[in-house]
Amino acid sequence: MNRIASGILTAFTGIFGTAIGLAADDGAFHEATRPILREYCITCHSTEKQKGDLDLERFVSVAEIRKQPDVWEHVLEQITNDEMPPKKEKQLPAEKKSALVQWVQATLDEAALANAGDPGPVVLRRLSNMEYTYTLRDLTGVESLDPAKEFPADGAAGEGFTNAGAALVMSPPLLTKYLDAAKEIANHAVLLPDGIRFSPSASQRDWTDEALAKIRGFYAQFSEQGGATAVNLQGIKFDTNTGGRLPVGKYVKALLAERDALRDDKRSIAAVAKDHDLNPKYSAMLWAALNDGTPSPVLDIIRAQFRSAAPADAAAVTRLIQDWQQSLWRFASVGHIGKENGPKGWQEPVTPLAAQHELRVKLAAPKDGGDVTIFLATGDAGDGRAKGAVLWENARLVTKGAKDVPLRDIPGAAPDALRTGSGTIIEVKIPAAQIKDTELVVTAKLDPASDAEAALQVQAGTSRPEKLSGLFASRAESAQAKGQWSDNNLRTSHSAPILVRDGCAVRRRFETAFDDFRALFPVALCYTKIVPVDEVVTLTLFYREDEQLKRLMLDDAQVAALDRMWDELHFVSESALKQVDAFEQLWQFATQDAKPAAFEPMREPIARAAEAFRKRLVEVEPKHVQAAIDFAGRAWRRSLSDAEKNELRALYQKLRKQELPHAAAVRMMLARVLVAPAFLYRGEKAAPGPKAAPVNDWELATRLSYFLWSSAPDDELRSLAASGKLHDPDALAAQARRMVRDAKVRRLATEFGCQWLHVRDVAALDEKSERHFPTFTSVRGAMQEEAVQFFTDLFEKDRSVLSLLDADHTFVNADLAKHYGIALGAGISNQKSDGWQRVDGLRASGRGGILAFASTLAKQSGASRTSPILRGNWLSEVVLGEKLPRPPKGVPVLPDEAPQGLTERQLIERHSGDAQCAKCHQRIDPFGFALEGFDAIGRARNKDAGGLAIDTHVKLPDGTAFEGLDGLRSYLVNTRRDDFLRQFCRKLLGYALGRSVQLSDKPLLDTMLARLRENGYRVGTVIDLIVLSPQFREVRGRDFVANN
Amino acid sequence: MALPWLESFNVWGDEPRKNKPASEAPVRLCVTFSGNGFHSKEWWAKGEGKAMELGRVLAPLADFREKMLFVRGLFHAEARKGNIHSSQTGNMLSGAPIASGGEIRSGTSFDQMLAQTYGHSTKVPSLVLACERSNPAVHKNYSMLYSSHISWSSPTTPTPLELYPALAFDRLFKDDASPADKSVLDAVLADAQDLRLGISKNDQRKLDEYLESVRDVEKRIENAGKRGELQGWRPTLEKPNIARPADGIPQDIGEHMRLMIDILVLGFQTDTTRITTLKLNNDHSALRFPNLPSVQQAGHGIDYMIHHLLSHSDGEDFLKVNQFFLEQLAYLTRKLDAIQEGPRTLLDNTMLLHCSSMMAGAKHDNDQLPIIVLGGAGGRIHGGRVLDYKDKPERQMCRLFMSMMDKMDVRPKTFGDAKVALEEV
Repeated sequence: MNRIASGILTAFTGIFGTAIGLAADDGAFHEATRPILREYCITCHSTEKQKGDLDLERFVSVAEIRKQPDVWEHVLEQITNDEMPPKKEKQLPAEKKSALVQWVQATLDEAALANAGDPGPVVLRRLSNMEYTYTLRDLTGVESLDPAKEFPADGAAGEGFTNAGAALVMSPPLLTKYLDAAKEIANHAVLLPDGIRFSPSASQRDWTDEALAKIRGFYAQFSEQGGATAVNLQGIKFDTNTGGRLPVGKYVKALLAERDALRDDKRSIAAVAKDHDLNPKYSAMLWAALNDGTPSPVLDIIRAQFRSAAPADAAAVTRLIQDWQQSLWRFASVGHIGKENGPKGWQEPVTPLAAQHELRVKLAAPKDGGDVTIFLATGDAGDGRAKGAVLWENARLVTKGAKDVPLRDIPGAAPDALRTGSGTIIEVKIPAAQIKDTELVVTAKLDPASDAEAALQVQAGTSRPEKLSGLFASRAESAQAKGQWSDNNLRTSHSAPILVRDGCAVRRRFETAFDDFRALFPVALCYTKIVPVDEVVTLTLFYREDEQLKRLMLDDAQVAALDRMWDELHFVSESALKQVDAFEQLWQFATQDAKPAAFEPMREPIARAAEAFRKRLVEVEPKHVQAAIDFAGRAWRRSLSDAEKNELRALYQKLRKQELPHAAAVRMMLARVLVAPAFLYRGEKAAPGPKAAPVNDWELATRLSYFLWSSAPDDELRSLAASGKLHDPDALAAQARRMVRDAKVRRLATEFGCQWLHVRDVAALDEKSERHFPTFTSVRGAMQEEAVQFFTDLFEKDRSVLSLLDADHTFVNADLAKHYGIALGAGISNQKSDGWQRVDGLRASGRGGILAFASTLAKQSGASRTSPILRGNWLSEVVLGEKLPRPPKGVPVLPDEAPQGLTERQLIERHSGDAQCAKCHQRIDPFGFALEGFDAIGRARNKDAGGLAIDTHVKLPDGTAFEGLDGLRSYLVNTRRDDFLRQFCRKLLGYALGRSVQLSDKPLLDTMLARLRENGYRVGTVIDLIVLSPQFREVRGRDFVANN
Repeated sequence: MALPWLESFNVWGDEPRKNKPASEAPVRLCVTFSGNGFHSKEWWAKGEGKAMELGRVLAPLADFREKMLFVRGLFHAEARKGNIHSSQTGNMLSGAPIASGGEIRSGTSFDQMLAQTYGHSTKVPSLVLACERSNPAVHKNYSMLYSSHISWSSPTTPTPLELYPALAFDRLFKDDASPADKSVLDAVLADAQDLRLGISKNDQRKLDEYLESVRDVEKRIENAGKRGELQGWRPTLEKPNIARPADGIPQDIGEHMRLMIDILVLGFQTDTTRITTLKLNNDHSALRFPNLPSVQQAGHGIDYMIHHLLSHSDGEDFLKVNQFFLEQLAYLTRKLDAIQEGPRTLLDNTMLLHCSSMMAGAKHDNDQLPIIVLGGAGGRIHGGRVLDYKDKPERQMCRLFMSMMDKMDVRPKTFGDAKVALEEV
């Protein structure tokens, strides 16, 4: 047992062991107490008269009194509140009153000790609407679910929270709503190849989009946008091929920056990758390739530049790589992949190697009207091992709408012999008059007389090439040629092809060099579009091409995850089935104006895939049934018995026999799980006999989880419960501490904090006059959110309970800051993305703590004006836990309106001046008057609605005087500290237990107060004590009787 | 199995006596409630029949004086024992003692007693509607459930309220239960029976709410489509003659109230239900009435105080809001009276009780409750009278409930704190 847990348990025994000074035995009762009762109480509260249904005469022994402590708590309250004896009856002299009060108190304290730790009467709890909602959100992972939106509102019981069984009812209409809600949630279940997930949506269309988004999101981690290619399909223009790009620039830049450190082994490539947010696998591969000594003509060019470049030259290195990417890759359309002669993939290698190649140069007439010079150049392709020459053939000018003009027909345009060797340039001069949207077209052909292994790189252009030796990147340009749409019409031309003979060694050498480059530098890693629209009628529904990504960047686990996502996409969309119809349509379409035969090779595979999918659908059915059973375990917050599992399976079979399709039957199983009592109620088995006994670990996990999270246990709690370790005090305390640090503690803040302070509904509060407070509606949500965030922070950060009163900080967004008149400095760093931020130094500007929350101030006001009575009453009852005597029946009527010249305060003082009412109002009104510096929606003010000056000086009945919020706060923190702390502990305990706090809880509350004092009032102290208390860990025996 | 709210059946003896011809329309019960009482000086009536004079609160009902009983001086002794508001309201229709200190316990209300008796006769045993959401808090040691619920299915079960017109409409007229639903309900019913074995008596009682609810829904599924086999009297309307209302709650409170009234009238007219309660607002209500022109602040609506605080002011504006509630009641009465069922109107075949849990909101006084009964209970109540019990002994409100149950042939030996019905009713 750890230090804290054992300390707490010692604290329990320590308190329980304390003797109480006034031992109440029957002797003292008969000699001292009973005579007082006889004289002053039993005159009316006799067995015969029983005034107010109260018979005090029947209590003839201490044991009798202990049996009904609630009656005597009431008696004590009546006497100390001066309610009894009634004014018109004989009054208790002071010493007798004090003796009676002391004796009753001591007797009650002894009764409390005797029953300390009694788990108490906790009525079977239905999940409250919020618990139901939170639980379903956690079970499904879908935050947008709001299944209880139209349910009747829950009532409050116990200590005033909506989690007490007594107020959580069931009825046929409500059960119908639960059934409808369960079916609706089941409609959000998405059947997957290996189980079930839940979606925010209930349509297959959206599920498919979600699966797509998941894959795209995955791809986006590795690739970048850009690279769009404009497409024109029968007049419809759009971009295609965007995205999925290898972010090569990022890698080059980082590796260049770290090059020297890497080379000197001062840094590891893994560390560099991490720092620069690079993929580690690709970074290592790239670094190795850039430093590899194995000759590879293209990579060697890049290596050389990388070696000599300065970090600032990264862009140039990147450009070099991109030039080569341009040269060696192209993109095809994927909408018809699989058709006859169709492309094999989206990103295809192209190779600027040929025995001959047509070059085209676009010509523009020079402005000065002179000639245009074209340079036909021949280089050595960085090879030059064998001799050879190029023949420039069929050179001509091609102009749209005109006959081609052979170059030789233009006098003086070019030399006669159009044959060149390596390192030579032919200049061709075209007179401007010849040029009008004109191209020069020429075929460069390797001279058959060349050596077998000759390689020459040719180019044609309007500027003179700088050098003719060495290999450089050609530019590949691809375009759709004319033809039927069922054909593959993509044609690629190269700006600087290398002329080689087919099948020769030099060609293979170049091919290897190109392959080396491509292996490292694909243009795209993956096809992120997935849904192609790049054909007139696109057949492919989802196109996957991510080989490069997998090869270069992913580890096995990532590949597996990606494969799963794809499998889910195909499964959820039922693409294999849809493909059959799509194919049939395409085929029909092709019969009209194209060659349907081109698609014939696809027919068989599509049909086979559909068949296989149908088979698979049946095969995976048991997995969904199993998933629904697993879901039941989570929903029912325990492990299922074999009988229960069988029953669920039997239900599935029964539903199938009722002719429900598989998916519908699985959904009904889920609905059945969610309408079951094991889900809707928090049933706890009581041990036979009268004695309290610990709840089992599953039930304990459920208690803990609903206390701190308003929801079902998570996996960690479940596994502790399953292994029977949770009831260990260390484990239990550790879990509680883990849980309050989880974001879900926000629900404790909302359901406990806001309900305690009565601000749970402020976000929807409809009680303010729009005329008087036009801004209220727009800021009421923020008011409640402030309270939620304040409590969340309190629990999460284990702050002092007293900070609820005296905090110097709070949380605001822009609207609330404006409401409070707090100037938010520009560029505040702690502002969160949702616009909320912590602000400090609040007390200096007249706020701080729950007393000055706009939510509490507004809630305890009228529609158009403040109500010091409501505020004072709230402070007394809610914050301090005082029990006020009941208001007299038939109180005099308040004046209609504040008469001219009276402040609201004076109006109330006039009312409260009535003798009947004064007793209470003297107690509560001063608290409210002290808060008059805030208007009915919580804004600071110094004049009231009528324009009269505010007076916040107050005097309590005991003579204590103070002024305003500051005075009230220090009165509460100093004079009333214990009352406030006790009230907080009482409320949190009542919330945790789902019942009213009772007499036997008093020792625990005493311990809490003592431990709070020792622990800097940290709220975690209270939570620890609650979860480790017998009240929290045990349940009354089935045949419990109060053991007095 | 012990069914908590059916226990009381034992003392009732046999099924309700069938002492009227099968061809006669059944008697219907509608209870309406508005919270925080009325203006302290303007709730009164005197005289008889056409000559009856009415206080200003009741002015909207002037047309129906001859079909109205004004009942003065009845009260619930138990409602005077606790605090104010919630403890004055939680036994409005039962007169039962009310538990405090975070517990929830009152009594089965007389409308629900009748619903449990006649539940089998109509598709929906009772329709429990509300125009203000119930309040989840504990006020002065009493759960505010008491302030929000006048119908109680059992001493521990305030009948959940329907606030949404569309869902109330669905409850009456939607039939989409499937055999699959039935299978699911069978399964969860078996769950509950298993679960019942291991838990304490108190928990069993709570779980019985669930068990009974499942059974009830199952029964409805079984009975769906079986109606129309009744002999004799037929409802004058086969199917609803208005469209399903829009989802959500109307912005305007008056519109909300009238929509709920339309639906409950439809329930009677189609004989889909014979028992309805409609809570126009809560005791301790937070409604405002920006659409009602203020007398006290000319040129504005009555939006400057919530209903509860307005009731303390006891001014002209509170009176105006009182009248607004009574206008809704007049709208309901007029609708019922416009539907002919053979020789009588639907109003003549109905008992329409309107009440509040205190007389004047400004005084929180409940030693005599504001009560009116409209309609003829199939010729068994004769209106146009003032019944004054103020200075008589035995002026339990529960006596009125016994009288009203009597008109529907339900005659328990006692009800709440009453032993005999009011002869005069």
